[in-house]
Amino acid sequence: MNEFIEQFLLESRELVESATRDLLALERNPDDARTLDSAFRSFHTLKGGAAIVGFDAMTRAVHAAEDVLSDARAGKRRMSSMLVGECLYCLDQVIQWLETVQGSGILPTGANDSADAIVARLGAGEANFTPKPPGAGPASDDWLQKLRKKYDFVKLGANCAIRYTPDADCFFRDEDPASLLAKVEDLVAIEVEARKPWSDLDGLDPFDCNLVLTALTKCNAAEVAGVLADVRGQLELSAIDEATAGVTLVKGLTSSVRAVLRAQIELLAETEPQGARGRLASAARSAMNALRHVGSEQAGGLVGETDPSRLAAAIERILHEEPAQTSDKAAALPSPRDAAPRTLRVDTERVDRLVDLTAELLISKNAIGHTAKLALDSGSSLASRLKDQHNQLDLLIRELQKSVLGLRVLPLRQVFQRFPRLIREISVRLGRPMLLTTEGDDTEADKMIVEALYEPLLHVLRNAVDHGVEPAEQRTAQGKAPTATISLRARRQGENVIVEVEDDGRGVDVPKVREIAIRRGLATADALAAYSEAEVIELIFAPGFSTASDITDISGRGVGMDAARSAVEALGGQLSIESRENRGSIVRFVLPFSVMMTRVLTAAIGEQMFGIPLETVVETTRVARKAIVSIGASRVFVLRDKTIPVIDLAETLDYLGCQRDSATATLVILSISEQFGAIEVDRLGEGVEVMLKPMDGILSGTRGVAGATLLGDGKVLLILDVPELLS
Amino acid sequence: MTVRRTGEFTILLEGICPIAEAEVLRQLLVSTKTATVDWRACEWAHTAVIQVLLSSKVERLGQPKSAFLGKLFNAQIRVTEPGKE
Repeated sequence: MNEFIEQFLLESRELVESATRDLLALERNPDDARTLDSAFRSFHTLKGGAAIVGFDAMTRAVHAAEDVLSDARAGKRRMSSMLVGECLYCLDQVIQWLETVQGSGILPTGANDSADAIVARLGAGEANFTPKPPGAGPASDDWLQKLRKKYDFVKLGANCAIRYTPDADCFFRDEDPASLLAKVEDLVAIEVEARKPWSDLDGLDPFDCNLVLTALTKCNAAEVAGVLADVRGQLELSAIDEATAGVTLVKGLTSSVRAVLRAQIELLAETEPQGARGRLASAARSAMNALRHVGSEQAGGLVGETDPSRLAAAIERILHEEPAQTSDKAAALPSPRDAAPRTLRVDTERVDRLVDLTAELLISKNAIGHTAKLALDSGSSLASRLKDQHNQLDLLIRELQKSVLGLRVLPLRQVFQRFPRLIREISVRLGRPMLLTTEGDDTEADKMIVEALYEPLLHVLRNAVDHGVEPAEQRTAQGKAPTATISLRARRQGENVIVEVEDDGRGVDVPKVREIAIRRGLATADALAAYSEAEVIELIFAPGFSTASDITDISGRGVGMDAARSAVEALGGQLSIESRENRGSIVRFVLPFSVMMTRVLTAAIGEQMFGIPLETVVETTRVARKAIVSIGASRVFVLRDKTIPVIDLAETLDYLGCQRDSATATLVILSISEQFGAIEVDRLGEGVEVMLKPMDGILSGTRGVAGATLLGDGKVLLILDVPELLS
Repeated sequence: MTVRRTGEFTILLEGICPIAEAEVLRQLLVSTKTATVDWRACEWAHTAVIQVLLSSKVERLGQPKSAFLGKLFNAQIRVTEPGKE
């Protein structure tokens, strides 16, 4: 796949995400001009990108949605829920196309038909369009025309027109719009408008900003954008073309268009006779599309060119003549990416290689530690110096590990942003109004955690909306707001990341849980009678609590909360629930920030060293061998009135340890989610920090083993998968 | 206090009028139906204060010390409301 397509895919996916977010926000607040502008820009850029790479069907489909948003901006239509749905449908199609392009580099056959269907659907929505209510403010496209009618731009020497629509709540962010505008130098005209008609002084809220500031300045757009960078999202800037005294939103070539043009020159320079005509046609089309995208009239000059060298010369001339773009409002305003610290896209494989190398380095460091210990034991004079060097290396490698693992972190936004759309769909399908709010989506966690979190989180969310949220009328009768709120929150807590799903629904139906538990044989009625409410609620995580017979369209797919808990525990995390009758539930995920670093207790069974994740170790104990008794197929012993099964590693891991005949047994007591077990070991070792590498190849399916690493003396340390051993 | 009543019908704006004075100005204007705002000593006013002045259409006395503020209300400035152009 060529680099332009790769870049196109990358950017298109980001634009689809951003547009989806904006559309969902618009559905809640159709008159939010900023969100509307932002959605429009995403569709516009998406269309431009598709045009540059020559995906006509996609260009057409996205253009239809862009038209809808453009009309909404002009006040000709209102973004009804149905229109939002149609635009989202268009984005769904775009995602499908992107998947195909990812694999084959081209749009699928039938893309034109799909585009036609989208254009028709978006056109059919016309009947539902309602004009923007009067007084909702002038259409944003009109302001430039109004300024042109009123002012002589050339006479005033104006180079840039500014329209600054401060957010209504901007004062609460300590913004002073007039003060900010005053920082722009060489203002030659200023206009002040009320965004909506003023209230009487009696009812006026002076802290609700109702102004729209429009100005002309001699500064250029890039300078203005720099001065007003803090309020970028509230601005529209237009460069003024002095030659025509007209206003051009786009002037010059963007860097990506320049890159596309240069690539065409390179393509045309190829001398291989085979495919020459195809190369010529492709180069001409790509160059024209790119030029049209930035509104350049030079595109017409390339039509009908049949000679590759002449076409290359024509493109070269355009590159030379057209200025670098400074006045495109999108380009002139620093993008969020520009404003953020500079970032570099790196292939994840390269990062993983770095992680692997750091793990190797850690093993080498452990080996040096082992050598230092041997030197000390043998009374070598180098022992203390070796130990000092080892300590220093230890510090440096810790820092390196931290930095390397920091490269693998992703914001939870990557998962969270997939849910608003889902909740919207379920809300429509169930006819129950609900709103998903997210907090802390910039909380970061290791890539592996973030990626693996989707499935369990999806299940918990589905469960919340399906079983937790009541119908609107039931909520109203209980004095609750008819719209249910589901909150998805994340925060960092020490070495953990906490993710919570809270709903304000009915809470877990405890009597029903009891009834199901009895019916499914999870506990007897007598045993349940002794359970506290929290213990009963805990039963929803029991394997077999949810069965295929519960399948509903939304949550039940034969996979219960036990599957969600298992998935979280496999990540080294914990899943718990708090529930209050008629007030809702909170499902809490406690996840490690990084799955790669684990502190383990080392223990030997025969000659083999095992690592047991320290967070699962409750205690170590020695018991008389005769205290371990057989009950059926299991061996158990009693520790402080608690019966604990002893796990036979030889059997579980198919590992032939040694026959034990000592009078006492050394046991490591383990616990996960209130489940206890013990492993008999021959010797206990020290606690070490390891970078856990998941097993691959033929060892990847080994039951009970989560990964492996090397010890300082070169021995292999197998890290036990405690959740699996206890299950 | 950068916004205060100095006479039966006169409200004075002086120095730099911060955001909190917007509500003070609103209340003074509500209680003084035919007020005049003397802003000749005004060096700057927060946008919230400017907004109260604009919405009240109150008569202003002289020019403020801030040229920008003066520009905002005078010269090529036109205050329009949607639908009332």
